[in-house]
Amino acid sequence: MGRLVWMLCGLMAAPVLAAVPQDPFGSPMWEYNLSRYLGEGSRVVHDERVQLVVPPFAEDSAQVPLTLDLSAYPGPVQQIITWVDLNPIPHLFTLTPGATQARLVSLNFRVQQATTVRAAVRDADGVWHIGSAYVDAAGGGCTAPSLTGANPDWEQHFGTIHGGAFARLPGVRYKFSVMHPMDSGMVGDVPAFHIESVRLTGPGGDAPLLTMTLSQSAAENPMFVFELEQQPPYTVLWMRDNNGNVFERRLGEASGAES
Amino acid sequence: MRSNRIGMQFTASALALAVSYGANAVTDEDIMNDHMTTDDVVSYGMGLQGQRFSTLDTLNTDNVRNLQPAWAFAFGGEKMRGQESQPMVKDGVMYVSASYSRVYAIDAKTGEELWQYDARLPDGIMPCCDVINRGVALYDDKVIFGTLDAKLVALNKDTGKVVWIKKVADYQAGYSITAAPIIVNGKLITGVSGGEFGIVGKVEAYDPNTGEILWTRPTVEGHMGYVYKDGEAIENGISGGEAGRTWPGDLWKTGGAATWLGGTYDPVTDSLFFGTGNPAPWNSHLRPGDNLFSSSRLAIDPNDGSIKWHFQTTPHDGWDYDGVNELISFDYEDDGDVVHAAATADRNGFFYVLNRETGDFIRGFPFVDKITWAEGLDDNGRPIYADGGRPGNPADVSADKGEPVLAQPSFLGGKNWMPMAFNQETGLFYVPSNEWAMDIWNEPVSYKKGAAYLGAGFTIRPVNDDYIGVLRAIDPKTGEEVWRHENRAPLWGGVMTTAGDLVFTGTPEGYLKAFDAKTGEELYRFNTGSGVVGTPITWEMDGEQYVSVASGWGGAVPLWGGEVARVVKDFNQGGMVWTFKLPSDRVAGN
Repeated sequence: MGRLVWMLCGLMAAPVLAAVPQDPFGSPMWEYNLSRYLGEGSRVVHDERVQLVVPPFAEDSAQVPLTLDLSAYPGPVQQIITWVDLNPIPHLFTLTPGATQARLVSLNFRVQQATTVRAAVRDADGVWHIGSAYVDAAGGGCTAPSLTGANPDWEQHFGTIHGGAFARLPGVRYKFSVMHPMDSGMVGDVPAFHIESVRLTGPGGDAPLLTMTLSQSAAENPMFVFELEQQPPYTVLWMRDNNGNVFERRLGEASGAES
Repeated sequence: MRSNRIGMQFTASALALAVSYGANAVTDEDIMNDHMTTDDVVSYGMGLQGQRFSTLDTLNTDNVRNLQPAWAFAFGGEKMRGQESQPMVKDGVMYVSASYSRVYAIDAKTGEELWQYDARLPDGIMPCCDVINRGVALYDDKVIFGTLDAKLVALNKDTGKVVWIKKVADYQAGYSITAAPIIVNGKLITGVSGGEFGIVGKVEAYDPNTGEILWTRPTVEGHMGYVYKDGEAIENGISGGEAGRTWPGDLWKTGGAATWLGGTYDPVTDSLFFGTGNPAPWNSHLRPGDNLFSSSRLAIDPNDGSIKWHFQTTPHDGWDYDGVNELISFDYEDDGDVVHAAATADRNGFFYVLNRETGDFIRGFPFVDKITWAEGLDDNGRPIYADGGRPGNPADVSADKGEPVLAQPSFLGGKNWMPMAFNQETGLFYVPSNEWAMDIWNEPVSYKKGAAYLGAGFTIRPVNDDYIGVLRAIDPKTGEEVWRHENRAPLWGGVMTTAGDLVFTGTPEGYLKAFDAKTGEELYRFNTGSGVVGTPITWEMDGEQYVSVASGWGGAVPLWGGEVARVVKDFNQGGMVWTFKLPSDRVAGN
């Protein structure tokens, strides 16, 4: 894959102040959300190697799969921030990698209306590399009551984690889901109730493999996928919601040594 | 030059942060001295003894008519229901809880919200008596409260973010928490609700910084208490020595005695005073015996949860006369000797004065107009049961239910949860009380986890045409009712009194009212828009005296009040906190 960096700001003979490149999707929220999430005056480039994959049309506006594929991105990644331009709370997640680079991140999210979705990857020089995608949708995903909440017994399965670690050559793929209503706080009489923090920690325990903060755009019963370049013997998954509930589980054992 | 300036800015802002943090942290000393400091309210009860007495006299009988609303704050949402909270104030910020386990931080000067926390409650919560909460505890940089699904939650006081959460008991077995926890010398103390579901009551201490449990003390005879060291439970004695002394068979295993109203603390005797609720089930014929420690006041050692003494107001209760009502420590002189006493106005209609060092009975007397179930109290304060005062045993008749009786007070009590206040200047207790009766009968029942465990049917009715509620000024030394103020609807809000000779309380009709503490004359009223069933507070800010109270009709009366509905059916729900102040230019009377 050749170098397909869109250095639009360079092409447009921009003034000395770092100008923001034009949005190929023409979203009305482009500049506003850039300064909101990346900071005023941040250096921004479009970068096709930040590959953001969403379906062309959201069959279910409350469950839209998003995959961020960084396999073509040369790295190293300092931070990843994703957002959904036209959602009431656009921010989806902020991910900070540890020593092992994340090559792929996947998470299902909600869309309130047809919208552009962004992933911004910060490099070692502080430049943000933006990947964009567009998802068409009937909408309403953020303000529809959760299916979990409709079940009076939801607490019985609350916090149940399914998932594991799967060996990759090289590296590891973590895939897990957690039963959580992830209430956005935008449904009448249902307060915001969602997972705010996700952390993966290796055997050392001190420096996390990655940390992630989530906002209300994340979907109910979220499914996470992380692909890391190296596999630790085992990993502890730790999540905490805004009510202070903690969900913890070990992922994988020291078995995939042959890779 | 440039980097130097940045460095200086950093130092200055770091210092400002440190100073503001230090000024805002709530210390053990702040809490222990809360009854003497006028610029904050950092304990439930306006002092750990629970006197609800303020030494402020800026606002007094001469100028209370000039009291003006400063701001009102809506809890919002469609979740209204009863607002029984007592607000707290520290460094210009009010912390107040609301129905459905919500907590708010509000700028006390402007009424603007700083943050809000909504607990996400499961659908299966089982509060018996409305989805209320009575208040928060403040400690260090945390705001701590109990939820309807029986958890303790600690929030950062500046952000409202959860610091820790701890499950105290299983809500699916009927437990919940509605009372305000209290902080005593670095320990967070809480009780539990759920006496209608055959739970076992308990008092527990937690580390307020981490939520780790420190000790647990069951309030039903036969259950083991524990202290915790390094996460390990160490046996600390069975409550009451052994099972079966005052309970038949296995009934102690589901004996109730819920500690649902929290407690007070007395530094003179280093004792926690917690009351306990009704024994389960309501049908007393199933459990002959005194049923310890139901319907009692317990003096508990805050260090390890040991029971120092108990005083049972209604042994072998058959009327749902919970003994939870607050035990307020106070001193008085008797022939030149200072008596360390404590007083409580019980659901059962009697007012008790106890020696708070020993739990010995000093005196007791009815504070309501009529008591049917007992003829009086003996020398030890034990009730002398009236013949025919107890509902009949269903086993004595062939029908499904036993012989009904008319009992007075009703099970909602001569006084219920709403705290009374003690004025150090007048030496009087101001008791929010009610005059009502009930028809009650017993039925067979067996325990099923999470189901109501009553074995009784009942209906409440007023005994007077024109009033149910009576605010009473009671002399604890003589039993005299010094004055009374009658109210058409039942009183369900707490009372607060001041050195300005004022008594404040609210009414279900919506009024915050102020009375002359000596005469009972009504000096002020303001309608808050919905029934007041919260507890007022007062404090001083920028040289002006403030009064705050939560407004929002609800609680047990509309749910359980029976014929009382005739009086209260038109009261609308709400959910606000109202704040009043005496403007500095209106301090002079007129």
